[in-house]
Amino acid sequence: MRPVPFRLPFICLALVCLAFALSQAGCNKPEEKKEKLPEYSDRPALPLSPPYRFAVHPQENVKRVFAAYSPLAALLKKECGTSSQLIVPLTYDDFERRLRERMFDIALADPSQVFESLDSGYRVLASAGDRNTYRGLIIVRRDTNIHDVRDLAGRPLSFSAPSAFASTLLPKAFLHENGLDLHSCPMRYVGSETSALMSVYFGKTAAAGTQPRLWKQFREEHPEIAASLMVRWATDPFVTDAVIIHTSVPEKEIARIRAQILGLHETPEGRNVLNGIGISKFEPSTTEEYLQLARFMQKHAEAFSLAPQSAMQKGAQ
Amino acid sequence: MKPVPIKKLFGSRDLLRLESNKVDLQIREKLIFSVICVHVVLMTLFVADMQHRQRSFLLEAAEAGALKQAGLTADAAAFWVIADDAAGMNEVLQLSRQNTPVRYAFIMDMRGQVLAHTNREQLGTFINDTEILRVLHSPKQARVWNSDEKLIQVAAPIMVEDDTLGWVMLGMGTAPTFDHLRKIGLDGLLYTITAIILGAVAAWLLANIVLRQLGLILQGVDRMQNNDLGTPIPVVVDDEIGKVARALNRAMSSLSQSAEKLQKEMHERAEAQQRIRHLSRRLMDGSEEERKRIGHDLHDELGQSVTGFQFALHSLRDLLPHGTKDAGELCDKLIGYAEEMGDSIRRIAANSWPAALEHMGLVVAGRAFIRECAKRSPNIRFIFEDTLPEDDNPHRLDPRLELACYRIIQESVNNALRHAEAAHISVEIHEQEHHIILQITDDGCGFDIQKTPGQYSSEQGGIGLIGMHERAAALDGTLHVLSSPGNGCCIEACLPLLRS
Repeated sequence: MRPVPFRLPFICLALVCLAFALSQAGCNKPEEKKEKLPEYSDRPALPLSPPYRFAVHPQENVKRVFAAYSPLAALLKKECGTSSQLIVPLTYDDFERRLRERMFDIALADPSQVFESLDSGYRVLASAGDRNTYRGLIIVRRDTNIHDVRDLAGRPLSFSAPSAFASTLLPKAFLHENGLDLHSCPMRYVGSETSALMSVYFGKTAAAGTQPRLWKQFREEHPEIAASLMVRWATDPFVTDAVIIHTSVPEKEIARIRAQILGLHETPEGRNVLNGIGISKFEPSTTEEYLQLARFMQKHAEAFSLAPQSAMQKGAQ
Repeated sequence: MKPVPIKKLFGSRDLLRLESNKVDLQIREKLIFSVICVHVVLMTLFVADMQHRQRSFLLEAAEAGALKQAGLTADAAAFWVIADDAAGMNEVLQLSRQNTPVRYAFIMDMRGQVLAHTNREQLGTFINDTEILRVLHSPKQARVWNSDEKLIQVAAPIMVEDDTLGWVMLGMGTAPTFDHLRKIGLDGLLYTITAIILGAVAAWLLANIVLRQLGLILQGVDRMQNNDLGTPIPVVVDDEIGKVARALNRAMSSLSQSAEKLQKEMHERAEAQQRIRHLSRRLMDGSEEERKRIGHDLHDELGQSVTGFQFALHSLRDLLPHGTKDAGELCDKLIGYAEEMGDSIRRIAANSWPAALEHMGLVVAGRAFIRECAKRSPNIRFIFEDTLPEDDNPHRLDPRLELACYRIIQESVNNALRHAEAAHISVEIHEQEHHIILQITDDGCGFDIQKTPGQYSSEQGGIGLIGMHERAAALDGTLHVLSSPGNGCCIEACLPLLRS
């Protein structure tokens, strides 16, 4: 048999391997083919009607508020067939601005916001929670030497937001009524009730305003910190937060939503929802109940840094 | 035993040189090609495997990175989705693009409406993509919903507690991944070429080291071929090839000793042969002297006596009185016997010592011998040819040469007459290149030289084949016998020319 030349198979093998190596080196360029990108349309692909925009005022961390109220939105959709988008604005200012601009169909607002929203075509659907428990609290450190309201004179105070009714306006009104010149106290608006309380804990402020439900929640979540704080004063109860609805919502829909909200405490599922929110039930209420806020605002206009005339005008309206 | 030539042991010189060149070229080439091929194959496999692994790893890492990015974006966007703040959502999306290969990103609600998009033109539009719409109603966990060579597209739910507010959709380009892979491939190719070059250089150096010792071994073999067994092969490496060189040196040393011993034995044998040949020559000379003396005695003394006896018988017959017929017849008979006796004595004397050879030279004596043979064997045709000058030439052949030639002719013809049953016998004598060439040929039955050398040995006083050989060898000549059964016989002797 004729011997195979030595070099030929090796050269062939080497060339094949080199070619393979070169192809390997150069083959990592992505193939030129059309990308699959998302497709868009002007019309929804899913046959869903636009939801009602259900806003809740940011009384605390927006995620927590959202988690607390999303079962209510889900229940409304389930029981009434009313699809709603739950919105929790990040700030009171944003909430109030959007209320004024009628950007919400339904909203849970505090009394002052309810009062403000009346001008924007909203009306009261129900009040939230027990009327006797809606009051303002003034929190100080246990080891403080503040025993009288006047002891706060000239010392910084912390609140969640300037317009928070129970947590800011009611405590301010109380302090004003009891002889504290609020203009002498530096005001720290720190965005949330928790932050306001933490400011007192760290000694950045002498006192903080909050409300009973949130104070209870704070004590549950931060028992060690809460132990070093104490409620020094509590204001008189006032009208509570209210569910308001815009007049553009059909009456039939308003009636269904009102019935559902007011009957929540009558079913286990509804009670679970209320428990998550932190109230025992929603109660029937009217727009007129919140008009008394005009007198309150006028009385404490100086405390709230409002012009007395402006407050009176709002009350007259 | 006849010594075996070294060339037969190691092959011819040319063949060995050819083989050495072949080995020299092929080993280096084989080594270099083998190393290159091994490097190419191994490095190619390594690079391919590395690229494959890197590709899988990088794509998985890219997918994991995209998922992580989408998850972070979803977490960051949750506040803004809760707040229904498009500006905030857009800010989150723009942040997600910073320092990342994000090609597009958008946030959609559970109806498939785009709440925020890196491409502002798509704000407020609805997704019309079945795969993405399917994602909306799938389990609430981040996933890769589409991945190809250019784009990894992932979706991450925007969750608050157990509620899904919407989805972040994110498309991550794979260009950096493939750029990295391409760089790895090019690096791999560079490493492969470097490995090939280094391997080839190493193989070349290794081949040189190996071939240097091999070259020295081959030079040593060449010297052995030239019977130079005294120069050992230099050992420059201590590996197996060095051991081979050492073994060859040992073999050369042993061979040298054997050669010396052999040389010595050959010398001794040659001396012994010389002595034997000298003795043989002396024996032959003695024999010839004895035959010469016997021949002379027979011819001069017994022959003369028989001749005298013949004359006496003739005289006796002449003296017999007439009428004595019986006595006359008896005398005639005795005269006949005496003549036969005289012929026999002359023939025996001629065989023992051809007087014609001594006095008239080889050609005349040879012709006389052939003539005598022809007379005795009339059924055989004899031919005698010669190209030698006349015997009376002043440059007559040396007597020893003439006698050897004559005896070889005599023995060869007598053998043919006795055994060959030949029809023709020819004798040729020529002078050629200072040699005398004798050829005695017959067309008889022939014989097998190997099997039956003894049949042609001397009989009845003949010198035989061995004697012929010895006679030729005594004059530094050669003798060859060519014969086979049925093909006759040819005896050729070549003897150096000696003049008297």
